[in-house]
Amino acid sequence: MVNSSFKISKNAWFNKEGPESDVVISSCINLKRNIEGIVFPEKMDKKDSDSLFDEVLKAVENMYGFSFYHLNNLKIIERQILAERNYITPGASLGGEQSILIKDNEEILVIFNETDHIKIKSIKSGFNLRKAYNCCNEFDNIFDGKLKFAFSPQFGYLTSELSSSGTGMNASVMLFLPAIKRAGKIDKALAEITRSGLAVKGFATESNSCSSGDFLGDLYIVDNRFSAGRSEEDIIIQLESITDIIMNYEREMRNRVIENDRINIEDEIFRAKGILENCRKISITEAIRHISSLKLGKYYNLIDKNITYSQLNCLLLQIQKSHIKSIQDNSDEDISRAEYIRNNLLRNK
Amino acid sequence: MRCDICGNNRAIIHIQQIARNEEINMSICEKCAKEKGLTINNTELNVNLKSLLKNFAEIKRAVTKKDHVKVCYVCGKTLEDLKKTGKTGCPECYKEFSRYITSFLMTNTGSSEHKGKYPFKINILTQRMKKINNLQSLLNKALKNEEFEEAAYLRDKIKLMEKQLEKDG
Repeated sequence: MVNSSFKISKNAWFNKEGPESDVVISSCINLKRNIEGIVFPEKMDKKDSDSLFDEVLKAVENMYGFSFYHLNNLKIIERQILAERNYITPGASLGGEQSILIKDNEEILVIFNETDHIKIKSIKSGFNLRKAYNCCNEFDNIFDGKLKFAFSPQFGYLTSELSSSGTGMNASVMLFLPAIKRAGKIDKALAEITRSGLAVKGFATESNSCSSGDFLGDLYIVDNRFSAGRSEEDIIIQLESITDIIMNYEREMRNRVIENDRINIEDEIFRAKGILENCRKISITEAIRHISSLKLGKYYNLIDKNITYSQLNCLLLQIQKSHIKSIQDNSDEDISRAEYIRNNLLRNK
Repeated sequence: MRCDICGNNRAIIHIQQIARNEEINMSICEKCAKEKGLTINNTELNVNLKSLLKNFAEIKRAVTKKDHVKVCYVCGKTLEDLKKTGKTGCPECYKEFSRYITSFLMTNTGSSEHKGKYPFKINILTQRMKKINNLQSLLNKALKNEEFEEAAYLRDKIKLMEKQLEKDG
């Protein structure tokens, strides 16, 4: 069952156009499960990790249309690609006996032995939490039939972190909020989200550390901080309703900022377009900033109609360090990145 | 099972002392055993009764000293560590530290009760348990009203269901 040659899908979830993708880039559900009678990965010794692995093999046998890898058998760059796609936690991929099961279209994946024995993960393009949950739930039911999960009627599913016990579910959406930011309302909006019991963090790549409210590319990730005390349905409903509010607020702000400051916004978008289509060398930070501007331009219908939201979202993912390196092993990452972006944007013309 | 002294390694030596109706059980890992003077050859414990007795008191002290620090007996996680990191070490921690975990969840989520999905098998079992409880209250009611025929029928039904439940685990 274990695959040794690594293949990564070019036609995965991020290539699909999702609902509300002008604001919501992606929706993600994680379900954490552990097997009864085995200590959690933090406390594991060789014997525990072997018996976990036996259970894992039991769970993944006879599954078709999937690839199954040991992370330790993968090259560093391959592990980094998985981390850049947010499938595994960077750093956690080093050492330990972790393995990953990936569906060929990357619609669903299962990570074994990270912080918990099993993490079922589904990412969908756009605002699509329910579809992602259904995918995870279906998989959870399959495993439920094959394995015995650690569960208590009082605490629900028992997980290594208290914050994820209960349903074991972490639901998140990645939001693109450039107009709230430009209108100077971002800190207030983020505080509002936090007050409702959800957590917000910025999306920032490895090389960047950003201060609060000023995240790279105006990308924010909102998730439920605690998974206990409520049902899966209630957690999703809460996240959906908060996302709805922010989404409408962001669109309102988009209409307002263009009214108030058309010349500067247009200037920023056309400059971004000029740079991305013509540059010969570009860093990841600069690229993310300009791609974000293009996305805003798409909303205002200022850029080529053939360029889609999913194409731009996909670009955000694929210009990361290891992705670029895997496509073109040029010694200078920035040169390869500029070339990749140019080809990608100009292919529609 | 983890070592009672260090709480980290797997225990390989188990000592039981019975004196004046009092039973003391201790489990010790290889490393701690060596430190406390119990020598171990590659395959068998070098049973030197004299040295064992000599060191016994010291081992006992080491174990009981550890007692006031609350430790999960399966994985060796301490309550202090759980409070600091919010991370448990194994499923058993939830039983061991249930008081702390209940209050933690109460403060952070407003509820310490699980309201979500159940694993399929447990779901069926809890439903059946609920059914038995319902029948039990019906039985009590019947007895109170002196409806003995009904009571006998309910009693047999409960017995049958309990037997089935036990069989299915």
